[in-house]
Amino acid sequence: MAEENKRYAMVIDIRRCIACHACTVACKAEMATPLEVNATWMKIVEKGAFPDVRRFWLPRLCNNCTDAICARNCPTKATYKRDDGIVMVDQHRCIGCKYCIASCPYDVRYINPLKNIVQKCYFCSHRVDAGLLPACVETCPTRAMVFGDTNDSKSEISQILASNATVVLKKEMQTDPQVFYISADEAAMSSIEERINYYTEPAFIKLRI
Amino acid sequence: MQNITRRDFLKVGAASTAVLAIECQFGPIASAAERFIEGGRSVNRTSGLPRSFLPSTCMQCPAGCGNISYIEESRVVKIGGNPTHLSNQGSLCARGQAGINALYDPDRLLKPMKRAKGIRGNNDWIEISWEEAYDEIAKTMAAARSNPRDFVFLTDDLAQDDLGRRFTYAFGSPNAIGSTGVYDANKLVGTQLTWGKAGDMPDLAHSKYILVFGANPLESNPQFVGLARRFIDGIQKNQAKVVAFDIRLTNTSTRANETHYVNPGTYALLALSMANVIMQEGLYDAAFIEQWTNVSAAQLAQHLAQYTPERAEAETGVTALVIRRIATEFAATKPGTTISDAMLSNYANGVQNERAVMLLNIITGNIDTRGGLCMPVQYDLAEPSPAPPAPAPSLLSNPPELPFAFQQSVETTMQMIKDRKHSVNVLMTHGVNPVYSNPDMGLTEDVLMDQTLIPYHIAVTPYMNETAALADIILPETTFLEDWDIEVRPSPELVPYVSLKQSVVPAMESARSFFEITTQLAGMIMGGMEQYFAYKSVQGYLKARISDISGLNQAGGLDYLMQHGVWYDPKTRPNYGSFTAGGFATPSGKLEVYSQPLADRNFSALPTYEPIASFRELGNNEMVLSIFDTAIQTDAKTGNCMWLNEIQHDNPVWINPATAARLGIKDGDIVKLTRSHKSGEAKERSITSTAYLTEGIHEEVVAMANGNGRAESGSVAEGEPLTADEITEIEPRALQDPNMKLIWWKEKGTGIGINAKQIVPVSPDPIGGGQAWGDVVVTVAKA
Repeated sequence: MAEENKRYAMVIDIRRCIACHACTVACKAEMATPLEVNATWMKIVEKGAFPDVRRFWLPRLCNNCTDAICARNCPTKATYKRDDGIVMVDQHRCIGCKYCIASCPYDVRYINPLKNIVQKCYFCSHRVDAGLLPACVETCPTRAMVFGDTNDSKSEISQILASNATVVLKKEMQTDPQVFYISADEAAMSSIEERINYYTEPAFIKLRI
Repeated sequence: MQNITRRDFLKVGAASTAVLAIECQFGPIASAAERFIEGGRSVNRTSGLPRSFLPSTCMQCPAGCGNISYIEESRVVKIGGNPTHLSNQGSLCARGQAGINALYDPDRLLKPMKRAKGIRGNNDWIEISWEEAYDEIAKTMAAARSNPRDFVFLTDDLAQDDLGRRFTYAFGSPNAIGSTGVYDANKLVGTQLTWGKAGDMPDLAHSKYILVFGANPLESNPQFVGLARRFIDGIQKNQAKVVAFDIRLTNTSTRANETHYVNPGTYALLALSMANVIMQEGLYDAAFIEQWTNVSAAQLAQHLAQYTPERAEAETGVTALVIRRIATEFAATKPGTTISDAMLSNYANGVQNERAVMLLNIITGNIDTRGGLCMPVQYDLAEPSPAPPAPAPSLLSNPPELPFAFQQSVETTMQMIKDRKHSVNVLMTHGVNPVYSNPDMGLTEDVLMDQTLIPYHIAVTPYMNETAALADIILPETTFLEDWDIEVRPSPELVPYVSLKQSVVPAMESARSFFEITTQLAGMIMGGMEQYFAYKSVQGYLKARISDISGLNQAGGLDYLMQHGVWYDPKTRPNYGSFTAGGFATPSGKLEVYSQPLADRNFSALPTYEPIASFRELGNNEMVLSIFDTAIQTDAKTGNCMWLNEIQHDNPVWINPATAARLGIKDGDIVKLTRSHKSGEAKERSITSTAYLTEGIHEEVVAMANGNGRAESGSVAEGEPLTADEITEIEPRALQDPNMKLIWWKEKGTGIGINAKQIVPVSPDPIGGGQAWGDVVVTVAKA
């Protein structure tokens, strides 16, 4: 299905994000993700001391890396890359060995507790192939997420990438992530202190592995 | 008016610079430059085949966004936003997405149930048929008809429950009581008294300067998605400056250019001192005040002179320097607006708070202008004829001590019933859960438990909950995805629209809609009632509801709505400055900065700061309790949604670390909150919860989220997983969900929280009648 001349990526503009979790739940519904695990979630941290205190957040999902360590390491080739850059998991080839989970620097993979196979975000490739946007992008109330083809210089995402400073998670891992953030805060990007919001607890994230 | 064709729609869409006219009918709506369709479609994950769909209206919060249900084999498999809906424009929040959970909750009620024996609340139920249920209710209500005014009907939003009001009036009772007044009555009364319309709609997307008074549009607002988008548009596209005043850190205040923490209960003083600066410095819009208010600039300046920035600094905690600077900036930066919600007006001085903040817009001429504070716009719906006459008011429907309250609050109703000021023969609760949602849970429980006060309680609800548990008979209602209604709301885009709620899948098992229930019961109770419920179908009734909206009827009326989900006049643009033709809808035709009705009742006629006495004398371990709403749970409404409970299932007590250190409390400690005893209060009320230390809260405030701590409400809300065997026993099989065994938040998480509202005493603002949720002083101690 994937077209060869496409290169899919996502930009998340934190200046427009309100940490409302619409993406979290849209993803849950689209992927029929069981409880306990999430392919998309919201990370929120608080920084500063009263009264100079602020909250920073970061929607998290698979980076669909250009150099995907998970795909390299998968012993059964269940994890593979499409020509358009999307990193897939073939559910029928996955043996649930968790090697990919250990390989992923971004903690985005999980064992589906009902099926005992590994899953993650794959940019809703079934929707993309039908000309639809990923579920999270479509539902975002403030249009903070932009998805598209970075090989097309006229696409909205290419223009945004050309005119804005963006960052990726753990650049030093040299995986070339394809989820770009605008105005992300360092505290929210660091891997410590995963707390999804201020009315529940960090246990949610810890349960993911 | 001419017919609006699909071609016209497209034309308007192309001509408009606003986001108003997005193309309709779920076609490929993206512009040619974009490859992707922006909503209105969904495909099967495995086959890639398109799913069938039906548009409707979301009921997971008050906003009424347009949604689209995607359906496979008669089952809703995904819900998305309707791209043609004016309010949400294709987006849908977490709650809207989780509407599937509400439809397929394994605990939803599917058969009428009757209390077997013993006292109320003992959970001893027997399933009965609809015929048996109707027989019993019709007999009881026919007997009660000799005293029809003792029938009491409690609902969520009375403005939206036309069938319930109709049923109550047709029965002969004035006592159709809504409960949204518990939340926003003071704001509605404050705005109504000032500009003759209840409510407001800040035009955030076009504003250059936004003053946030306790509001949190990025997490909680009656028009959540629409206002959040427009707030972000205002700050990102329009570079609006945002200054937030609050008692805690919110997702909104963290996005402000400046956030100032305000001593609780002093918002009005802050606003009035800023108004004072604007008057003293001559920064006001003299022509606007002269022409459109019923006071003179001199009179106003004289009144405001008492609110000096120095006095405000001493009481609000915001420095005089900051007050002067922000007041000056606000007056100089046009257009500007304030935004406020129930968190400003849910105090005993709530109406005054609202009027004080409105005054800032009035004196700067930012009223009903592009980018200013605008009047709410929405269509009025017709009352299908014949309409039952409204019976003469009662103590419950119009309490004389709350002369301005125009949508009565359940909490005062309960107190009056308890005090035997008004007797009750039959109580019907519909889609409302006052035991959970009202202040003073103990009071409501006591009343509902007492069969001498409430001889017969009928609960109409899709789910068991804290209130239905205290009923004598329960009628299982359809969920919003199986029901029909016409929905109108104040439009965030300031262009009115009509949205349809329609059944997207057949009603499950024997659940029945409220239209069926009221029509069928009226037909059995008879005695003249039945003439008001003569519509053969809900569609016929809804056609009558929209009969006055000619543009919609020319476009195809109900058929158009069934196809598109929503209608608005594509030629309509925001009608800024509508008051210039004919004035405001007040007695004077002007903005009533001086309110004669308030003066007549011996309330302060000009916007006034009335300090909350109990806040000034806080003891060493006394704090002000703030209960806040989130973007995840809508009070008691969304507790059966597993995807929402997974995100928000607990509500620990926010405490500032400095305060916690003083009280010897550490993060994670169990703490006890006890409502401080005031004279005249019967019992001590307290709750225990977990301390959550955060820098994002005022040192005199503790805060807890709303929507947690559910009881009697099923596995999801109470965090109780089912075993695999229990899941296979669920009937019908359509409700069997393997996720039920994975429910983790109670055992593996931190728990399901506690309902903080239960320790809040019943205390309405004497003007607005809205509950003073924010006035509660609690003693905080390590448990």
